[in-house]
Amino acid sequence: MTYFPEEVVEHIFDYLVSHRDRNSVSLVCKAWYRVERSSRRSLFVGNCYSVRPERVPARFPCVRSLSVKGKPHFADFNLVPPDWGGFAMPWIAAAARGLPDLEELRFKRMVVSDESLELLARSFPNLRSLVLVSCEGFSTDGLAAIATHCRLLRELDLQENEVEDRGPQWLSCFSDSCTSIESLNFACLKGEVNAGALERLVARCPNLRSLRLNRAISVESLSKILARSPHLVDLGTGSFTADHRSESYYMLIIALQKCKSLRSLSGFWDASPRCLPAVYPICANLTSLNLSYAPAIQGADLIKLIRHCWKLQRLWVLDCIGDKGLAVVASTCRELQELRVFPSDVFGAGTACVTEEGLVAVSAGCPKLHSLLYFCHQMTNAALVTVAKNCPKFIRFRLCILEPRKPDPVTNQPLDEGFGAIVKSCKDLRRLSVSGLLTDRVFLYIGMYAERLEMLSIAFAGDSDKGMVYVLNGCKNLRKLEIRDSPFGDAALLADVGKYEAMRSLWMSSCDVTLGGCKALAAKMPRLNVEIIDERDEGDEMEENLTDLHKVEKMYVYRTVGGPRNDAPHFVWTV
Amino acid sequence: MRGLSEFTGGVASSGSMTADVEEELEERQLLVVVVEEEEEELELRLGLGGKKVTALKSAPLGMGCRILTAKDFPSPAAKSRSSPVSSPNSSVSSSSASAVSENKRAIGSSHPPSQAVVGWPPIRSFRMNSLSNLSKDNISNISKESNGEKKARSLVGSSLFVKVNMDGDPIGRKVDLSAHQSYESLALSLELMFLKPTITPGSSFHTAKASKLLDGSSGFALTYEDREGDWMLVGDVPWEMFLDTVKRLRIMRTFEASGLTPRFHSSGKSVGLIASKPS
Repeated sequence: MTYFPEEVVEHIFDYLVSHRDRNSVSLVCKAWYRVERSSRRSLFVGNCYSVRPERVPARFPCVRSLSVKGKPHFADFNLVPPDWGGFAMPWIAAAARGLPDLEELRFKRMVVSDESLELLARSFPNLRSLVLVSCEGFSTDGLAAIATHCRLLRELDLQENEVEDRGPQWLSCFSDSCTSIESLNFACLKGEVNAGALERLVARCPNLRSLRLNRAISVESLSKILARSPHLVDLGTGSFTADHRSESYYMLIIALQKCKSLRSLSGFWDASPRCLPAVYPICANLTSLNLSYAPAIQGADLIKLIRHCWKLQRLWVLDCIGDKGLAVVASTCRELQELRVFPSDVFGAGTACVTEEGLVAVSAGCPKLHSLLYFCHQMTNAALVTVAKNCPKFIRFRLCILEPRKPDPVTNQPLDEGFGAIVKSCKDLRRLSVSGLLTDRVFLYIGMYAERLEMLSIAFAGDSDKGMVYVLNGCKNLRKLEIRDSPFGDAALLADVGKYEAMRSLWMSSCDVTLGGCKALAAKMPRLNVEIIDERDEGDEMEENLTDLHKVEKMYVYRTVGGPRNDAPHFVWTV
Repeated sequence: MRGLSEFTGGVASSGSMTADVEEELEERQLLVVVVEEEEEELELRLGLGGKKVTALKSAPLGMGCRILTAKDFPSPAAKSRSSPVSSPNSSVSSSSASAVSENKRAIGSSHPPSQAVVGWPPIRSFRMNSLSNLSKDNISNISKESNGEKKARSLVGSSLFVKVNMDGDPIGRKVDLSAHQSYESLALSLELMFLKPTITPGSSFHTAKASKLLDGSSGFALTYEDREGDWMLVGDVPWEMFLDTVKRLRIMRTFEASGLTPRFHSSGKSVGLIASKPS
């Protein structure tokens, strides 16, 4: 290929969409490395500590789109202490110094300060897109900075962030000349928003296609906004609560009817069942529906709504939909690809809302189902075997039986065979979360059959080190392994240390791994960061008793070319 | 194989608990620290050190904040050690899964065990907080609030912001109480806001993690002004009740806070006068 001019090679590389392919071509020869490097427009860093931020502009100076992920996944469930790290600032600073073409930035599970948003806004006035997912550390002041300086902004997407409310004025900071907004999602903001400013913004942005409002937006404001943006494709309603006999509700119905392009609905924060009929007319076109934040809407009303949604591809609901409701989903939503059923009463008395029956019904009625997140109170092997047969196309299968270590209630057996059936049947399975009573056997199956598996989440499962070893030996494509409260120890950890360099990360908490084991791993593999998180009090008991036999409470191992962290808090210790 | 035999019966089997406390626990489904049976010196706990229990018990009532945390309750495994349940613990603070503890409960027990384990079920904290706020608002009567209280305490959407001032710090802050499910969480958050924790380089285990505000070691005490205008030590009443009654918070120097004593408990376990306004 060296006799092709570089422009041609570059042109060919433009057709390479996936990061993995581009990574591969850069390894072929120096010429290709050079071409690929300068033509790379989009960069994804799956672990912010795997490489130093300064390295990015040096390696890929022409990047326009950067995506960085910070904390380990279990941070979502409070298993990672606050102040652990994952700071966005060094990345923004490095970009400001060396990535002049940057237009799109995405952070997930990172700590983003107002200061860093200010730096971002001032350094990149031409910023087109900012996406923050599950981040924290900033307030509406940071958003104001973005709104003020980034006049060409197309997308501001805030998904499930913890944002401190410092007032509604941030929205008014979008200048009157800003007409480029295509996507605006501030559903996670807790505070008031200036409804008038929002309406004016919506009115002057003709390309607005996605708008997700927060809970503070009333039905009245919603109607006015919809009247100004009838071409919306994706809508997050605000509170959606109104007296169904009121003028506001009537206006809402009128406005919604005009939104012929709406394909996706979410929000419904305070929705009462009586307001739902307003959306019936648009249900027939919906491909995505998220009612998982509407606990007031119970089974019967959900069913009525879903009967209208026969084109649905993605459905997120609470488990109050019940097995009966899922049966309606199965018979109505033949195109369904993704289903998420969340628990509505996490700490409740265990009134069975959805069981294995609902899942079986959906699997029977929706053959295209490929992504599942299902919280339930019980599951049987028989059901899982049936589901595996009905839906061999699963890519993501995450099952969470609420009670840890719960066996099959019918046979009192572990759920090894059920999950075994899933991995055997679903050859394209990339992500799996297991739960319920499980022995080492399920991991034998996973190791044997889950060839494409990339991410595995284990909790309260297994009998011995063998379980973990089966997985490490078998799953060739494993990238992320996260384990909690399972009896895997040093023997498993050290069984195949080279494996961890082929993976992004390993998390183990409340397992049987000892300090000695971690030290051994770190000694053998210098390009891994073996981090221990220990949050205990100061006290004499700690220092004295720190032998190598000491069991480590939380361990996070990841490959890195950046060396040990230089921003680790006192409770994070790199072995 | 870790079988069912490993699981202990949970709080209900603890003999040193009084009946009404047990009831409260069942109602509120409190988190309990159950320490796995291990060599004592290798014991790991995610919460505040159990050995400190006796020290706390002897702390003068007026000093610091006796925030009840799960560690105050004896675990079945730790029954042989000191049982700390006594007067300060009779009022129970309910916490959600975010409290730091680990629990193994009997399978098939009447209490769904999922709520007793940190980070389980695996639901994003954003969703947990949203759902708990949504159901609170649907149930609670927000109109109870009088207009006069609006300044210090504002309810916006699902948030519950109250003003926080610290003695010696001219800058007051606001904290969203609805973002917290427990006193621990609130105190830690306030510490981050007001007290910069010291970081000693090189030593990973000298943490400032335990709520210094709560055990009085920081020289400050966390207090709040309630509906009646009285200043109380934070931590005496159940969390939900606290949310209903708190108007604003003040981080007071401990020598000033010594004038405050815990509220008289309905169970008759602790004595004290309703605190008077500090001078």
